[in-house]
Amino acid sequence: MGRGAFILTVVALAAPAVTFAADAPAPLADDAPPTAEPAPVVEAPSAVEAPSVVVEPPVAETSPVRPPTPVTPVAPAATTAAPVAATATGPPGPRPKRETHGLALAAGLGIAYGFLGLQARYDVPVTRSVTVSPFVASGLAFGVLSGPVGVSTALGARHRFVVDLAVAPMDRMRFILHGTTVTDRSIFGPMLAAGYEHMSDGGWFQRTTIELGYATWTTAPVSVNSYPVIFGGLAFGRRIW
Amino acid sequence: MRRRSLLCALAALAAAACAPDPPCGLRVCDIREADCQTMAAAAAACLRGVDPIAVPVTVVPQADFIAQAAARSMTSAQDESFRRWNAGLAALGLAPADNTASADSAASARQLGGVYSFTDKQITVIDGGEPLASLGWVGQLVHENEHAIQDARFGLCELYAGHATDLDRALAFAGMFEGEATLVEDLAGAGLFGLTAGDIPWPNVLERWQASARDRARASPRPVSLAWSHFGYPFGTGFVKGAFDVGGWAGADALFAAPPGGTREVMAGFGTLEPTGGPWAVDLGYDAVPILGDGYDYVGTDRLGAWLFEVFLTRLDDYYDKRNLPPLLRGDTLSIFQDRTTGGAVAVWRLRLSAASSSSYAFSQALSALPAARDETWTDDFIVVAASDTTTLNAVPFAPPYQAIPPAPASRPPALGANWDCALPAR
Repeated sequence: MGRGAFILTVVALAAPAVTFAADAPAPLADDAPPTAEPAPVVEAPSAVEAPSVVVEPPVAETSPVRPPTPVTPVAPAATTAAPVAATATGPPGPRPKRETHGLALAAGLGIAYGFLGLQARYDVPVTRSVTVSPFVASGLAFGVLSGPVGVSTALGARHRFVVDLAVAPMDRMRFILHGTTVTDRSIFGPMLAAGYEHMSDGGWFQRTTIELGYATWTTAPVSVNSYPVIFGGLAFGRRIW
Repeated sequence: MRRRSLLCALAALAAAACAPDPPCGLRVCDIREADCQTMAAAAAACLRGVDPIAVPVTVVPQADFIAQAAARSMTSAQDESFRRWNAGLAALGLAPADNTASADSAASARQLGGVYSFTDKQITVIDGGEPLASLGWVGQLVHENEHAIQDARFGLCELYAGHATDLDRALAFAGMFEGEATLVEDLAGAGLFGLTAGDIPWPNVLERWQASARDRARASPRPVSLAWSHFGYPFGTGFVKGAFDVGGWAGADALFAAPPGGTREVMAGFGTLEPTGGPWAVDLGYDAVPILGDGYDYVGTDRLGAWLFEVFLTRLDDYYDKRNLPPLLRGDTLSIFQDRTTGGAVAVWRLRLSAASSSSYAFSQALSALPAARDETWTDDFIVVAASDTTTLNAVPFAPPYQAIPPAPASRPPALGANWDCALPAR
C-alpha cells in the first residue's frame, strides 16, 4: 500500500506550471498551451532612417565656357546641349552588413534564446532579399549546452520577415521525491517562429517573433506527454563581423 | 574555425539528448495494461533481487473505493467499541468528538493510491482520475508488487499478528514493510528518471518528508486513525534505508525477522542504541491500568507510543518540550473508561520516561489546553487524565491503584489501512 511517492513536475517557464505525477495530472497535448507572456510590442520601424553611409554627387563648379570664335561660318549645330558634369563619381561606400556573410550576436527573450539568453547566428545571404542564418543559443533557464539550435530565414532587406525553425528546450521536468526536488531535466521540442526583423546597414538589428513550440522529449528516460508552448520572442543584436 | 565551433555546439546538444536506460526493464506505461503490470512485477523483483510474484491487479475509481470503505459493515459491538474508544481519544484531542467508523474509514481510504490485500493476494490501484501512464503510477505499482513479494517471502499477516500486539508496535511494523516497499518504489522512480540511489540526497529527502509528516499529523483531525499514513511511510522508509545502507537487501530482510519494537525505535533510526542501554520499549506490568472502581466501564487499553505522544504534545500550545520528551518514552498505556453516571469517557494515559527532562509543572500547564484534563505523577511516570467534560473529570478518583492489563471486552476496530485486512489479536 502506498501513495504516490514521487512527483514529476513540469514547470512551463512561459506559463502556468503543468504537473504530472502519480497524484498530478500529466500535461496533455490538447491542454491549453501555456500562456505566452504578453507579446512584445512590435516596434514600428522608423519611417525615415538616415543611411549610415551617404554618397552624394559633388556639385560641378565649372565656369561658363565661351564658345570659340568661329573662323569660318559653319552651319548651326544640332540643338542638343550636352549636359555638363551631370554626374560625378566618388569613392564607393561599404556594402550594408545585411548583404554580407557574417556572425551576429543577439540577446533576447523567448524560446529561441533559451527564454533569456544569447544567440549566435551566422548570416548567409542567399540573394539580396533572402538570408539564411543557422544559429545556436544559450539561455539562463536551461543551461549553456541545452540549445536551442536552428535556422532562421529572413525575407527582405532592411525590413525583414523572419521565420525561425529550431530544436529548443522549452520546459523542465522535475523529479520530486517526497517533496524534495532531486533533479530536473530539460524538455525539448521543435519550435517554429515568425516575425519581423529590422537590420540597419551597420548590422544592428532588433526582432520580434511569435514562437510556437511543442514540448516533446527529455533527456531522462521517462517519456513526455507532448504539449504545445506559445511564447513571444524579442531580441536585440548586432553583426559583429 | 567558425564551422568547427558550430559543430561542437551541435555535438554537445546531441550528447545531452542521450538518456540512460532505466534499470530492470522499467518503463513508463499505462498500468491498466497487462504487459505494464507484468513489467512492474518483474521490475520490483529485479530491483529487490528476488523472483517475481504474479498477482492480479484491478483498478478502482477513487470515489468508488472511498464509498466502499465508508460503507464497510461493522457489528453493533464493534460500532459501540469504536464510539467509546473515539470518545477517549477525543478527550485527549486526538480524534473528533463526532467521529464515526465510517468517516474514519473514508479518511483512510482517501490517503491511498493503491492497496495490496494480504488476505485476497491482489493489488488494487485507486484511480483518482489522473493519467495512469506516468512515472508515479508505475512506481506505485512497483510498490504494491513489492508488498506481494514481502507477503510471499515472509507471510505478512502472520508476522503482523505476531508483532502488532499494540498500536505502537503495529505502527512500527507497518513502517518497516511500508518503508521497504517505498524504498523499492523510490529506486524505481529514480531509475525511470535516469538516476541511481546514489544520486538521491536521502538525508534531505527524509528530513523534509518527516517534517511534513509531523505537520500533517499536528493538523490532522484524526492523528491516531491516520498514523499509519503519517508515520509509516516517512519514518519507515528512513529506518529501512538505514538497514539497507548497513547490510544491503539482506539487512532489510533481517528486519522482517526482528521488527522494530515501537515507533520510538523507528524514529531514532536504524542501528541507534537506546540511550540508557535498555530495551526500546518496556511493559508497564502491574502499573498499566488504573482501577477506577465500580462506577466505570472498562473499554480497553492500548500503547500509543512515542510517535503519538509527540503528536499529542505538538497539538498542545506552547509546550516547549514537545520534541524532547517523546524520545524518552520507554513505555505507556492508554486506558479508556466510560463513566456510568455521566456517560462521559475517561482516558488515562500513563507515560514512563527514561529520564526526567521536563518539570511536571510545565507538563501540567500544557494540559490546560485540553477542555478537561489534569496530570498526575506516580513515581517517575507522568499520567494524563482526560475526560469528555469537567464533571466526568472531577469524578475520577485521584491516585487510584493500578493493575496489569485486563482482558478487554472488545478491541478498538482499526481504521481501514491500519490492519491490511489481517485478522489481528485483540488488544
